[in-house]
Amino acid sequence: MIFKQTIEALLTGAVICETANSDLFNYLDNEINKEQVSDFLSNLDRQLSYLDSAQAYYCTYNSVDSSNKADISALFSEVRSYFRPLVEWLDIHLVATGSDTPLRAKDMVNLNELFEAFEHDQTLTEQLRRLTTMRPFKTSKTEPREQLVIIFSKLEELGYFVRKSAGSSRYYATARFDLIYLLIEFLNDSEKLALPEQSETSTQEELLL
Amino acid sequence: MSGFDSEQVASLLRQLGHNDQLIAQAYVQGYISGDDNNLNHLMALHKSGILRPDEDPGDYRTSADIKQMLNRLMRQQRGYRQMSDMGKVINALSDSVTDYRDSILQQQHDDADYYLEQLDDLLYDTKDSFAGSLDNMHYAITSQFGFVSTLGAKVRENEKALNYAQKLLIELKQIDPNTCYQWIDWACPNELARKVTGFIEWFHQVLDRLAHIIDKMRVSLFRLRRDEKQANQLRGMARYLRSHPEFEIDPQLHDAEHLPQQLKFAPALQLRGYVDVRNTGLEADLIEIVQTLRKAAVSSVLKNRESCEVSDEAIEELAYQYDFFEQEVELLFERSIIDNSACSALQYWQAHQDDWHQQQLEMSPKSWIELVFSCYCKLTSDQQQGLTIKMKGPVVAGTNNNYAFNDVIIEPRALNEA
Repeated sequence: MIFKQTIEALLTGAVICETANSDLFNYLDNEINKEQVSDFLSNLDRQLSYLDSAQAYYCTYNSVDSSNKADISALFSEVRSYFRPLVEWLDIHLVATGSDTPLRAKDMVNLNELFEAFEHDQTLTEQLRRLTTMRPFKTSKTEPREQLVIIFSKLEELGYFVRKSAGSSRYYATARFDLIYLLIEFLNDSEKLALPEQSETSTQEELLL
Repeated sequence: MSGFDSEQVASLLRQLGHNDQLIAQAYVQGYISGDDNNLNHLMALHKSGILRPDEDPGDYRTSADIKQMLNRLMRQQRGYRQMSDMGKVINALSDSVTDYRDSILQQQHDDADYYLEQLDDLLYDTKDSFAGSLDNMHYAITSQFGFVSTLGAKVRENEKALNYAQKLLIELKQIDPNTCYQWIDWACPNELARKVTGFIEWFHQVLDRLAHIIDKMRVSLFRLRRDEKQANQLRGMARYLRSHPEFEIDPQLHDAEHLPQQLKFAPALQLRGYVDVRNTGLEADLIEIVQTLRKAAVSSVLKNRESCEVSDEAIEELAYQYDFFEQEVELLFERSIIDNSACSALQYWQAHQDDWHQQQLEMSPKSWIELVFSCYCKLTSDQQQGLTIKMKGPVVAGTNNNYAFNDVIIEPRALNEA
């Protein structure tokens, strides 16, 4: 039964990590089960991929041909259009929390606590307002708290956050965030963007040494 | 046995206990200032070697021994940085064993007891010192270097801890179990044999534990560096996107040559299940489903709910924004397309003057030509692919593509031209 559930989840685009779906994750963490699932997916021209940094399993395609090109294009079109707002959101989160660790799978974000950072910071509020003019976070709400609620609910809908109970303000990040960092790393290499790998302060420290 | 009277030790411990707040304050704040109330206590603590006077007159600090002990017990990161020179320790152990053997062979049992005690202290101190270092290193990893807050500091602490652990491993490797076995390679008493074999057993255990800690530290360092890199790349990407609003990811990203397998997200399949209605085995379940659906279709009893009035405002009607002359421009474009011929804006204006006057509408030819030009500019690029606009008039002196135009010609673009 759990084999069927796992296959169905993977084929419908789920990213299985400990936060998003612990039962299926534990099932796939067993070598024999993983092999069975991999074999099944290979018959459908798909591959079971594992993202080590986030401990997540998901489906990837083996090749692009006429049978899957349209669907893959449509999926990547969504990835492309959501990339900018998601990067913007993750950067806002870094600033708001004052953290230097990026949001990744298993991290917990408390909406109420996060909102406190926006209450007295005009720059953050402005960034939030700009973010809510972009899809998928677009909203006509003008209050920062309402805007933040919209962003969180959209991220939950898209599978970036999960909650243990519907009314809770504690959101748990899934491995989908880690996939964005992977995409940034790829774009940095392929587009030769030369994004910094070290913080400016540590680079300056090294220069002084 | 330490050679002290137990009452002396108890007295010192009592003094520590009685002055717990003063010592804690000196340890946490780094110093404690003397005043009329506590001066006697502070001086007594100074006399016992627990506190020592600070450079500022009247202030006291914890002595190095007490501070080290508290650091270690409170699991401060400094705790694991106590390098033991294993070469010297082994030499000292070897000396103690030699002295012990000589005393035994010469039947000097009191001396032998002393040397055995010395050996026991040395072994205990060595083991305890390593155990403390390893415990603190383990704590540092499991707490993810929680004693520092920034990612950069965590990376540096991890690097230092890894470096220290590797040096510790080199130190430990100075212990040669064969040399230790030689210490008991004579008709030695069981006591010595037990202590030495216990030490060798501890050595093997600690070596495994240290190797495990080094592995964990390497993984931890890799993760911290990855976090640091990803956070900086994220910030950099956000900055880049803000300064390059035109940046778009390549539409052919899915087909990119070097796209890692982990980014080749497979599109979701629409999964649907169909029931084989000829399968009699499913009949009972199907009937049950149909019955459930029928039940669900029965209208539920209306509940009495609280009611209140809702005020609403009349819907505001907005007039459709219609512009007569823009409509005329569109008719001009339309005529050009239908007739598949070039249409002059000026000629169109002349031809429609009577109609426009009848409708009491008028527009100067200059404004009309400018309107046609601006309407052409507002066309989408696809629409502009179908129509071309040509300026009629002399080229402005000194330029090669600027016209002082007095008419514009709208003309369908040839297919091969588009």
